[in-house]
Amino acid sequence: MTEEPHILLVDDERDIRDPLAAYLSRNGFRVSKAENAAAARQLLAAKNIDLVLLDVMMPGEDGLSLTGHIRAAGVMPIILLTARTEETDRVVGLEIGADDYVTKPFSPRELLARIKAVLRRAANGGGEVRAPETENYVFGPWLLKTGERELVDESGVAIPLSTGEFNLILAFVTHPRRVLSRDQLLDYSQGRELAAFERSIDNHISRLRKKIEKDNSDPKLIKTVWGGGYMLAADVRRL
Amino acid sequence: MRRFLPRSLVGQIALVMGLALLVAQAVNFYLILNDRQMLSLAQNEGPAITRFVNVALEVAAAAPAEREALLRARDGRGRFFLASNSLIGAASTPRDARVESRLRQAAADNGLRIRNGRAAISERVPDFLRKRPERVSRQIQLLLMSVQLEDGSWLNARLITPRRDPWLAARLAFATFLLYAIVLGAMILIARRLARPLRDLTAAARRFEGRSEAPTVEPRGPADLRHAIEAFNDMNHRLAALLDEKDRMLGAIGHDLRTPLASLRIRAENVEADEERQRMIATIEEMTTMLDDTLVLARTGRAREPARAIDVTALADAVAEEFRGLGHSVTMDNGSRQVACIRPNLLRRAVRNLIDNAVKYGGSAEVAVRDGGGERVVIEVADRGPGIPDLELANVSEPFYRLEASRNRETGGSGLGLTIVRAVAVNHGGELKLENRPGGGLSARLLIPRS
Repeated sequence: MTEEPHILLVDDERDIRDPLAAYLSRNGFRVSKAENAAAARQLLAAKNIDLVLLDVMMPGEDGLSLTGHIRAAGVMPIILLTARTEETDRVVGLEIGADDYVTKPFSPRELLARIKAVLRRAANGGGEVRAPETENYVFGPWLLKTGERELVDESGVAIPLSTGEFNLILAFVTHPRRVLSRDQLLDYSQGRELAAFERSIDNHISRLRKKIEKDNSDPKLIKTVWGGGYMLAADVRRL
Repeated sequence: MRRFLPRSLVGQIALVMGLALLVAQAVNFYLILNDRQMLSLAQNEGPAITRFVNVALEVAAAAPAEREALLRARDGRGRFFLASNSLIGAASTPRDARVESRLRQAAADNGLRIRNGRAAISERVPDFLRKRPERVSRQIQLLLMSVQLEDGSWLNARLITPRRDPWLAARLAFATFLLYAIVLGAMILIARRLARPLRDLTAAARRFEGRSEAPTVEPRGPADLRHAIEAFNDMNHRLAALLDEKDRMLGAIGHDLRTPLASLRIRAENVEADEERQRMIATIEEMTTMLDDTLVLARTGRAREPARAIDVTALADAVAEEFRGLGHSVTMDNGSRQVACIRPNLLRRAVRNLIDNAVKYGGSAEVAVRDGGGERVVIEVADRGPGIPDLELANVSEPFYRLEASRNRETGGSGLGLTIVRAVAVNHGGELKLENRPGGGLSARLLIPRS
């Protein structure tokens, strides 16, 4: 490792800021602390920051606004810390351009894993790999709504997906008409929820096919490529 | 009988006012008709009767030989003649009782003593009038009168009088009916003017779910009703503001409690002793769960999430899959696709709580989604755990209710799991049914209407 990644931690609560900074330092990161958006802007300008950990609810300029500001300036990875659990907050945060989010109270170990995942993705080519979780995709007769994590059929009925199924279909629609090996699928679909994707890819493929194929024994959308892996045999349109 | 009576405002007003008006109009009709008939008698037949009585007096006073000449002198607009019989047979022509009594009255008033008096009205045009134009003959009638004088002879007369109005009763009845219809119509119009805003008010009260956009009813109708509607609108707004305030407060509490919990959770990592650290983390997580559950329960009543058409089977399957991903044994009976209009995040939370309970107390869960009949979908989550004593089945979905022995505090949880499930069911207009299974274990069935 050439140099320790530099994390900017922005939170108005000293009770979070100090122990979290200490924890991250102990686990191999350099940490700068800011107690509000203004201080954060100064540090961002002055120092070479690799990732921003950002509290959403702060007095004065809030985390969402600062996220917009940072995103407008470049591809700096951002993880939001939020005290609310409502789905809309998650969608809004990701829409504005955050890479990930954790809900308070969070497990520091899980946060560590997410920080590493986001940094790894950023190192692998930045924004391109980041699967935009706020876009919708149309393929075949289906509409994939990423915010709600569900497929909508032609009659408007929504089919909720499990995390594994969702991550898999997201990997397919972002790489349509390309043969994807099991390793590639694992790679593309990992990231947000690590734990839920332990089970085999084949199992998830079979579950997905049950949901989206007309005839399960003769799949037209997700095709098996002998010796290669799987392929989404449909054109995808972004909405 | 009672069930045939109208229940609505318009119906009741129409019925009561209709009946009251009917009675009043009937009495009125009878009185007016009688009055008009008396008037008609006085105007039409009255002069003829007086003339007849005067002639009879002259005849009674004259010597028998002079009588015929006297009568000829009195002819004109009618004919008088003496006979040994009455012109009017006792039963032949229909006799007119009104005219007869008036005739007797006139005779008595003028001191004419008669043995008998008869009268009838004939509409047959007499021969001597045949040559007159029909227009005239249609306006006249023949009044037949006959009195038996003291000496036993009958004085008969056929006198021309204006024809009675044959349509009098019909015209009166028509006027009465017209009045009846106008008044009743106006009454129903007013009642409907009252009823329509009342209906709107009822609909708005039913529709009110406590969201910030409280339904506003357009104030209309009479002033009293408008005031009531305005008061209702104000009340709705106050209620919505109160509920908004509650939401804001819960949000603030949630935020304020989450921050120290998050701080504790981070510091817990510093604890060196493994067992101690694990216990602290478990306690913090339990507090977080309780906080979350309390907030969810408080918000379920007025969920902002819109209801959408969702494949409920796929939803339950996705939740079951998440549990399997965490290493739990959850089977899913993927029978058939069951579509219902639901709030997916709320329902997902309910199914998660049910599976969580089954896994916690029964070690595994069997999930199935079926058609429940009556336009409902059933989500069943069953386990093979110890079940719940029948006596306590009704209580377990009460907030913070805990069972004594097998399902106790040791297993953790907020004590709100089933309360939330029930609240979600109620939010969707459905219900939660808990039953012990034959052969052991608990079956929880969530019945949700399709629309």
